[in-house]
Amino acid sequence: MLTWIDNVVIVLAVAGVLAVGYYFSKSITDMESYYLANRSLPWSLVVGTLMASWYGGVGVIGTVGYASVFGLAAWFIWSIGAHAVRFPLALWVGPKIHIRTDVTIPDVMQKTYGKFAAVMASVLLFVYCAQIGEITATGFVGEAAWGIDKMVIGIIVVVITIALTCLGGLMGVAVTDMIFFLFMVVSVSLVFPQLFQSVGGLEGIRAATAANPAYMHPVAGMAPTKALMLVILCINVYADPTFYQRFSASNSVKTGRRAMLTCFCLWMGFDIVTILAGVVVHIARPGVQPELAYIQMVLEHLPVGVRALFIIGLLGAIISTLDSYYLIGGTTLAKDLYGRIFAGDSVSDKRLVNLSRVGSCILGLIGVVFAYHFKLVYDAIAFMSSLWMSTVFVAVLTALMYKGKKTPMAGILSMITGCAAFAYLQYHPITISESIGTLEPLLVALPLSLLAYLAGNMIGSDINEGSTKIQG
Amino acid sequence: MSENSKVNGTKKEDKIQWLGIDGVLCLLYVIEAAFIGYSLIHNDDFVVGQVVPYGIAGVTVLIFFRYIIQVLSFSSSAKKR
Repeated sequence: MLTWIDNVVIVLAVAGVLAVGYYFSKSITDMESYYLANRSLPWSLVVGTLMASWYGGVGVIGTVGYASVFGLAAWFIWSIGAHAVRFPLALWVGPKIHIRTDVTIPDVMQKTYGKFAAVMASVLLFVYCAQIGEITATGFVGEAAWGIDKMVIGIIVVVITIALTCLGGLMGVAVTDMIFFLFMVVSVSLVFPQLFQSVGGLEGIRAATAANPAYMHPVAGMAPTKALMLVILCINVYADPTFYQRFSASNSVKTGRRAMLTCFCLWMGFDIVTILAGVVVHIARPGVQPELAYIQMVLEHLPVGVRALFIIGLLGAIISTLDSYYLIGGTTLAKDLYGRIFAGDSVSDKRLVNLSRVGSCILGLIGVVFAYHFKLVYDAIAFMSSLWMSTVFVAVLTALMYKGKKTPMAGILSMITGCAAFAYLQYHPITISESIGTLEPLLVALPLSLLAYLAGNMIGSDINEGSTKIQG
Repeated sequence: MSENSKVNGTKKEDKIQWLGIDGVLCLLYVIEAAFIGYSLIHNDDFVVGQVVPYGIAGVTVLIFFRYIIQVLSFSSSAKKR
């Protein structure tokens, strides 16, 4: 548990970060600057924002829990594989988005598949942006640090996030992300050697897990079906608006690409720190909820005052992810739903900014109401990611990357089929066998979505046919 | 400047530099994965328990300093506008 000195440090740090967000709110002049930070983010800001947004509550706390179950395979399969499949995103896909004038994912959808597909994508995007798993993760932090109710810490985190999002837009978010990024990575990395040595290093870990040698084997700790599932979920980022937004906000294509390539190297190093921390927790605190045990162990190893920075780092990581998504979700509600359905092009920038702020508040409310209906952080994250990926992944990727014929029916059929297949299998699970387990809805919904796309593409004509194409 | 001319104008400048920084960053990922993987398999506590965590913390601090410099220059140029 934290002392009053720790709490004073936390309050001062939060006040400082809010002040930074307020300072950068002055740079808001219109919707373009609010959303894309005037396309002026330099390399270091893009690195910080990507890194901090990536490592939210799931990234740090969730990885610890995950690694405590799968052991070293979590790094050899999940970490290396996850970043490797994302290289094309940094090298080719992301830069392609940067040079297009389409600002949001629904913009891309409307241009390619028409208004209905854009509105459908907007609704899903808005819900996806609630990121309820992040709020679920705050429960572990609140319980370990203060012993307080999950709902209380959830509300506090949401209020801070909304304040940051409404005050500063992307520029404020980017700046505060960087500060949280520093707190989080430095505190997690510096406390790790103590935890690692407390169990006798790698030899100590191998000795402690000798009864289960697969746990410390590079790949044997994870079932092949699980590995396949993880790889598929890893490519979800190709349809993640946060990354495209960051690319568009960077000051050049080169900056966005190099920032992401830099992040891959940093993420992989940071992954091994969090994954081995999970392995340490597995040995030192068997039978205890690993996420909670990790935070408790760290607090026990750090001196008063310093451990406050660790908690700020963790909560900051959660807030960083939340504020990035609230920003996108708020803008989606204002520009892509309200603007597209009710106002057309006549809505003013001032009204759009105000509606964006209302949207952020709604997302916060959704998060607090639904976050604690999930027992585990990963339950919430897996559900939301799978729903999003099943529905829009095929349509978004083809809109961005495929230069051939794309009809509105292809996009609409793909989205409806993917969403329906996911929903059906989610609530009517099919068990293949005891060894393989239940058929994961995403593994069926995604190929069905692709097939529906191909079928729909034979109906109608390309609405962009004859117009000037943007070259990738 | 039309949309297309803007795209074509930035194309050469934005091309991937396989023999430059882009290539180095890609290679760095491979080397890092091999280095950490080898250390894990061969129980190298020094690399895994010291070099990697302190290295990550150090690089993060360096990036943060660069961030401060760039934010200050960004802020001053925004005020001029």
